[in-house]
Amino acid sequence: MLYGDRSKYALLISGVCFSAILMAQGLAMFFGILSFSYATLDNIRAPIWVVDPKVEQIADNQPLKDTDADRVRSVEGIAWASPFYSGQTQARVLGTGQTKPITLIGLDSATLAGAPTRVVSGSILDLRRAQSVAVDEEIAVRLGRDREHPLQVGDVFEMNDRRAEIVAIVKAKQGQGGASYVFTTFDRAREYGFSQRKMTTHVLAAPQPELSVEEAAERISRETGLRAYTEAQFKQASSHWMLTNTPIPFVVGLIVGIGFLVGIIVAGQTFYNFVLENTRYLGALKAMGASNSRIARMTILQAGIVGLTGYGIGMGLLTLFFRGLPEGRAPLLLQWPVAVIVFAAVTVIVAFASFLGIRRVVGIESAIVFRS
Amino acid sequence: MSTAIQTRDLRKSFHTGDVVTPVLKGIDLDIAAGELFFIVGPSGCGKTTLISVLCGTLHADAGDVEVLGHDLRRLSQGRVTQFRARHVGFVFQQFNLIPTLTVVENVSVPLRLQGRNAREARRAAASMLERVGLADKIDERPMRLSGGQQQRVAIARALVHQPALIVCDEPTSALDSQTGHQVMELLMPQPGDTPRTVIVVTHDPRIYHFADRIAEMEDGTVRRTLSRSEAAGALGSFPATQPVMS
Repeated sequence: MLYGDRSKYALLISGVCFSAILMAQGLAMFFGILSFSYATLDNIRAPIWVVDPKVEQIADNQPLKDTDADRVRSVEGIAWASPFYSGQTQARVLGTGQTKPITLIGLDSATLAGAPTRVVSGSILDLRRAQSVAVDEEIAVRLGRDREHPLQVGDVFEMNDRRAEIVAIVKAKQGQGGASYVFTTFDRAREYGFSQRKMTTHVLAAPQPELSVEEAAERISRETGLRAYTEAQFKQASSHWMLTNTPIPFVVGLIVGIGFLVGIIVAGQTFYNFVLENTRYLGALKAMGASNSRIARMTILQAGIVGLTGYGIGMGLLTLFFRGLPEGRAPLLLQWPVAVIVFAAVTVIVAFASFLGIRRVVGIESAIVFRS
Repeated sequence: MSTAIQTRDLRKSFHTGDVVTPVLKGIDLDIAAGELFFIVGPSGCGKTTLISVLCGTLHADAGDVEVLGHDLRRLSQGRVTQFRARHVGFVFQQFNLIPTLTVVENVSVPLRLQGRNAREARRAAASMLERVGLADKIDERPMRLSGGQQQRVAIARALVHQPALIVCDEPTSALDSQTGHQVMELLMPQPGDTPRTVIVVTHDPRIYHFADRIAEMEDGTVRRTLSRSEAAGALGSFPATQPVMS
């Protein structure tokens, strides 16, 4: 019956579709922002991150002693450990004067442990050359905005009034606040970064093959008094910090909640109105021998098809839209949990709409058909 | 002839808050199988309530009501629903054709409710539509048809599952005289048809001559029951003729 009423059918599908888009977009933003919060952990791959015990998340840079890397290295079962620097500074292009904030990463000069692996042009090994840096694609574009083309290998810019020559352009995920990454050696980071007495912010480490990462991290924490996270633990801690210390969950919750309400109101009201307008015909069906359970099944089937269609169209449109966005730039991550959560929410919307409809249908007397 | 419908001291009241309105006040009725039985009377006399009870869409408060061998007062709600699906065909005053379904889909409904598959139901429905002269309209929406055509679709829907009882509520009131006669002729059994009892509630004196018997109701009771020949003689005294409409 509902399919024949094209306008209501379209309105219902549009309502569910719009609701699914709102909820999925909100959740995708949520997961996107969470992933931004630990972007450094995705860009610098190290099994174990050792930090000051007060550190709660990756962007919290509490300086360590220069000797802490040696202390970690001396823990039994640790294969290697190297000092690591992460901090904020400004990059400035000579000539145009274009200035952008960047996250400066200082890698161990000897091993380049944790160096990015997705190199677009140049060579990461050239970081061993004097005044050399690797930049991510995004900052190459941003700093080259007033030039004819983005910065390339061989181009030069300044950080902290020091010359930096690009030897490699790499792919990297955007960090918190959209900051881009500049990679150099730990020693050179002392010159490019803001001057401070202790430059080591993290120690990267890896266990020997016979020791699990979790055991090694626990052993480092126990023996050094520092805090050692596995990569997964650090991601989780950074996400947790974001959830408990920022208004992001509230904002995203509001978007998802509004989407859910839109779905409930539009679908529920439209479905209820549909039943109300068709009371006489549903009464006729009941008079002709359709049981309440049969009409309830019809209602659920129709609501289910509306829900699936609206959900499918909504998620499809959102996927197409996200595919059109530049990779890694927008804080939007359409992962399977988003699809599952939105599906569950649409199911609730459809169940609610069905419930309203069925409640009305059950109350219809079949004798109504004899009233003019 | 066997009895299709028998009621004894049938009573039904409606409750509005504390107010109780008795509508059927002890109806005794015997309708033979295959009979074309008319119920007439002024508005509010209980005609609609009576057919609602006879076809099981309303539950009687007291008395006996046996229809086609089923004691409707003792059947559960689910059994009564099954009984209607299997044994009763309906023709409503306002047709009640589902506007979002095509004509053939509308006629298929009783068969689908009996569990017949869609293809089989469509075939039977198309055949019934051919019989009522609407073979060329099967894929139309009901709203595109005239009132007479819509009522023929409703009759096709009432007959398609070959029920033993057909209940018609004012089947000709919205139609002109000629169309009304055509509609009534469609309700008459054709050679080879399954025998069926037809109950017609009407205000329309133009179709009285189709009836085998006519029951005149007044204030919740059957005032008198007349055979066709008696009714013809008594028509002058029927409220319907001068005029029956209230």
